[in-house]
Amino acid sequence: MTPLRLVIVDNDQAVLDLLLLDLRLEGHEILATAMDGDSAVQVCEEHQPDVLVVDLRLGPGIDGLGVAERVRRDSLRIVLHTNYVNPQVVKRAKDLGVTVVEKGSLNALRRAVEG
Amino acid sequence: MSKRRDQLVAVAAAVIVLVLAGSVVTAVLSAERNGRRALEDLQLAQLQQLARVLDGAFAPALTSKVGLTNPSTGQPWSMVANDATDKAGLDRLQSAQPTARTGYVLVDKSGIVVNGTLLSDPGSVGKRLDRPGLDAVLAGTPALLPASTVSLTTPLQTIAIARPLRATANGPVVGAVLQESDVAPDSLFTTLIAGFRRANTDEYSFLDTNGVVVSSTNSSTVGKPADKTLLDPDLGFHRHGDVVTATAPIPSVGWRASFRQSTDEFEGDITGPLRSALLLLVGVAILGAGLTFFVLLSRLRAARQEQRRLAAISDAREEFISIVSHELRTPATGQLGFLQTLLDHWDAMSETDRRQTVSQAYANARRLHALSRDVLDTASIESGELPYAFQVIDLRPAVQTAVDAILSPNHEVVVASADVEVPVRADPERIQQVLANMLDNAIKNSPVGSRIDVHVSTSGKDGLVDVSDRGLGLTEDELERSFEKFARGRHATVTGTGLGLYICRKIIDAHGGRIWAARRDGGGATVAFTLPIVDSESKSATDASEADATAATSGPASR
Repeated sequence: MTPLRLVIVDNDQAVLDLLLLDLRLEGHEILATAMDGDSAVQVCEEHQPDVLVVDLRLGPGIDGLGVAERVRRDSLRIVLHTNYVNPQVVKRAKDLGVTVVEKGSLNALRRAVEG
Repeated sequence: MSKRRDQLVAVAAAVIVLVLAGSVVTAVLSAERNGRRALEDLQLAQLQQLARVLDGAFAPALTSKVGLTNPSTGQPWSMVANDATDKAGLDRLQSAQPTARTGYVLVDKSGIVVNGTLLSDPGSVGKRLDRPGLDAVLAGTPALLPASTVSLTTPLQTIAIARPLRATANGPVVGAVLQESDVAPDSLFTTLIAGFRRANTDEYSFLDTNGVVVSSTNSSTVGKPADKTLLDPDLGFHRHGDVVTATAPIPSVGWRASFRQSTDEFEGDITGPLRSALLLLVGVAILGAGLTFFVLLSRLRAARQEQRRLAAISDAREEFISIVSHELRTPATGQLGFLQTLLDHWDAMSETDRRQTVSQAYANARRLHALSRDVLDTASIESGELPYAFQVIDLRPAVQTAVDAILSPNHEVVVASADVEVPVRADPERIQQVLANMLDNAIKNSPVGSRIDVHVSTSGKDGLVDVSDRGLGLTEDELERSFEKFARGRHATVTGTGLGLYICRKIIDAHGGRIWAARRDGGGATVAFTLPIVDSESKSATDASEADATAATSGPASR
């Protein structure tokens, strides 16, 4: 398994704590975290991660897919980690080349991060 | 869209009412038509009856034997000019009608006048009587001669019953006897039929074979050619614009009886009330349609509003389910996630990591528990089944208990309590729930390390608890809405069902208290509640009244 450089974005501190801990223990390097869309864009541009794990709903401002739209590039894998999986979200995500993982399974998230 | 549909439905209903009214109008018009026809038939029948009566009177006059011979002698008329015996016989006939203004005339087979009564000009004897129709009589057929100014016994126009005279029963015609009868507005005949007239414009007339009015209830027409509407060869009832006419034959004399009246007057009896009824009906129909339109429209609007209200309730319920399922899911997945991390990485984790992970799994489990309790409490409150066990408690230790239970070491919580007891009647568990919620909100809404102030005091007859944080505070709108169901903080990091303060308000309401939110001077928010203080006297009084209420279960409820 190749260690990857990650940025994690979620507006719930508890979720952030969990992902931070688990993905670190999985051997990845967590470059930065963010709790809203604008900060997410900022830290992505600053740190140039390999993988971005981002929640869909981030409170006021742009949502997770909005972040993906801004920061996407060939060398960046984007994982949308959300409770709100519906056909529209899946369609939008697919158009942006974003992998969708429903919250609740760490194994699914770990696999998606590794690609 | 729906408004337009409401209007369409109302318009359709109004149209239906109008169509129904229209069909009633049609029915009434049809009834009117039938009534009119019945009236026409009746009028014609009446006229025909009159004609029959007249026919029955003329026929014997034409066939009568009286006057065919000299009534004085019983012998045939001598037919000699100015014969005294013939004159005496004629006078005798004349004397049968003492008031008559017209007399009898004898003519010989050539139509030469030989004798007469009431002769206007004695010189007419010996002259030929040139009267229309007389030739046919001299040929052997009795007739009622049409109106003519060729009268011998009056200056007026006359009609005349003319009968042929024969020497023997089947012998040749030797002459004729004429009985003249004047055609004048004041003639006997005209006077007699005047009684038929019943209205203003109705007119009964008798027309001779030439169409001249021999007698009429309208005396101005007598002696003149009849109006052409009465001369229609097609007998029966007719309408001629503003007049109606009826004609019936009097076969024995070739006359016709006629009736004429203005259409309005003729139909007045039947169409008057019908028209009034129709007008009334049309008025009622328009009113009905209008009323239907407005009543239906307002009903539909009310129904639509009710529909929207129900839809709003349904939306709120769906939102509730959506929020609840999401909010329950977050701590559930958090709990699962931390436990999975722990299991998967146990060996790689430091002691501190393990402790931290377990405590986070625990925190998520607590959050899940609190949320499920909120949801159940809300359900109980809404069905009116949230139970309370009231007792008198001191608010000061109650608040301290709630503060001690806070697990967050990241805030400085400062409690300031009154020196004296603050006794209130309350359910201790529910009050703990309210206090925990208020403290939880303050912690969630203020920065880590900031101070939270809690006061317990008295305010008038109330005990007062307030919790102030140094967070971002609340907007005017949020102050209003914080206690509504699903009200949630505007800050993205704040999580919850939006049920906490809603439940608090319901609990405080049930205690007879008041709860509100305000801005804290210097930033942040204050949430406070009051509960009525129970003093030592009323405390025992309350206990006593509760005992009374328990004892006297059958008595009237006292409050």
